Amino acid sequence: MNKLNSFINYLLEHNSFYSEMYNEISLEKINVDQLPILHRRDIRNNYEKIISDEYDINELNKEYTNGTTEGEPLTIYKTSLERIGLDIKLWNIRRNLNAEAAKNYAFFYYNHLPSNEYKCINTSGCYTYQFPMKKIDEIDYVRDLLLIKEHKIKWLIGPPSIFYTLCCIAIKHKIKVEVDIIECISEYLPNHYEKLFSHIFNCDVYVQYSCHEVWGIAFGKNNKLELLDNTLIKIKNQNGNGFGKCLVTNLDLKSMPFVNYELSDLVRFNNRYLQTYGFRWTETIMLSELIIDYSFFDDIFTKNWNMHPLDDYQIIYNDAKLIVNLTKRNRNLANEIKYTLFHEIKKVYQLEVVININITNRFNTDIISGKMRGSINYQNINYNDWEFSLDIE
Amino acid sequence: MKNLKKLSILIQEINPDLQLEQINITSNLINDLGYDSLQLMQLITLVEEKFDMIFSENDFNVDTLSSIKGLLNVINKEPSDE
Repeated sequence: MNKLNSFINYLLEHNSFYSEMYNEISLEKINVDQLPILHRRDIRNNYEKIISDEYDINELNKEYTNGTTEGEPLTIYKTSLERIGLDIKLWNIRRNLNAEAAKNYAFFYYNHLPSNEYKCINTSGCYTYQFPMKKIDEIDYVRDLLLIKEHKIKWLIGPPSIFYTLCCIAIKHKIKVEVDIIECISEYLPNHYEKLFSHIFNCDVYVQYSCHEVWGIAFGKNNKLELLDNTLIKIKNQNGNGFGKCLVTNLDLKSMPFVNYELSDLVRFNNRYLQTYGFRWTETIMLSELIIDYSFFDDIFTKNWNMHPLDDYQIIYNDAKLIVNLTKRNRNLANEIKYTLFHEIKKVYQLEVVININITNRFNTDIISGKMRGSINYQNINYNDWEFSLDIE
Repeated sequence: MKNLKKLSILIQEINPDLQLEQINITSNLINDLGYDSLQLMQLITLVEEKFDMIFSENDFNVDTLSSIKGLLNVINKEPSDE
């Protein structure tokens, strides 16, 4: 908390936006609970004012978020030292886990247009590959696997959906590739995906939880993530299940500070471990006559069956009906879920909705962001994904 | 001086566009020499290999790692008894 104190004092002296925001609160004993929330709209409307006085906006690096949350990117600023400091912090975690593997890694990134191009940087026998996720042809995935194998790449970084695809391709083409660590980013990692990756690549699977604005937030495995240094977390909208929106504070970023910054991801935090549930808290299920908050389903599934979004279920919807992708292979449970959802929706919204249960091994990604989501409009399902579907128990 | 010269050669090896004359004790790899994250990480790996040393947790911060002076301080440190 001393670090938080000195950081807040810095903001009071050097940052007009925060000093105005904190004007009315008592800061004798600073606690993150008493600090106001920083919203996206604050950044959108005041981005110049949020820059601390000692920094010249023209000398800062301008960055943009990918805009998947609100459909429009945010403009954010960092010094070069801050930007690289954030990368270094994550890399230090990797070194501590497995220094040899951290030297040779491949990174998969989202791309809008399909591409078979890739970048390889080879320095003193250390390979860094940058692969686009969306390929032109199946053979491009095969090529990625063979390059990873040939150059003994031992660390793969990317969203779970690309590793799922690579698993399918590896099985289909009988390519045996072993790595040391798969580091999942950007999307929630379902339990059964984790087991699949671990089995196919014979590796440990870790999760890096981050956002573009503050970069790394937490890192760990088995959905027990530890916060990175100088990162604080608070939960908003706790509903009795321990779930809530993630509020993050980063004590390293002074040029454009983020204190109690509201993310739309759903998380749990027990003061030691962070658990992520990766979908957007703000998502809604939009039927023709009805809009349902995603939290409505979250409450029902958690309270009744202790089931978690994207571990156990995913909601697909169109104008007229709901399809629940369910990974639990139990027909009685499926019927119970169908019955309960139907009656709860009828009770709360006075509407009868058609509900289908689809027992499956995998979840859909959406075509807009390429990410797995807790809920997806039927029209936005990424059908290309299904080419690589895999029947796993 | 010997270590500065050796370090300068490694810095240039990672970024061949740099001239050795550009690299001096007061240079900052990021602000003055245009290093990016990947280049800095490659340099750290290379420094550990060529100087037969390991950066400790305390040294692993961007202020130390990005300045030539900071890097030389770590390289020149006496080995600890641990």
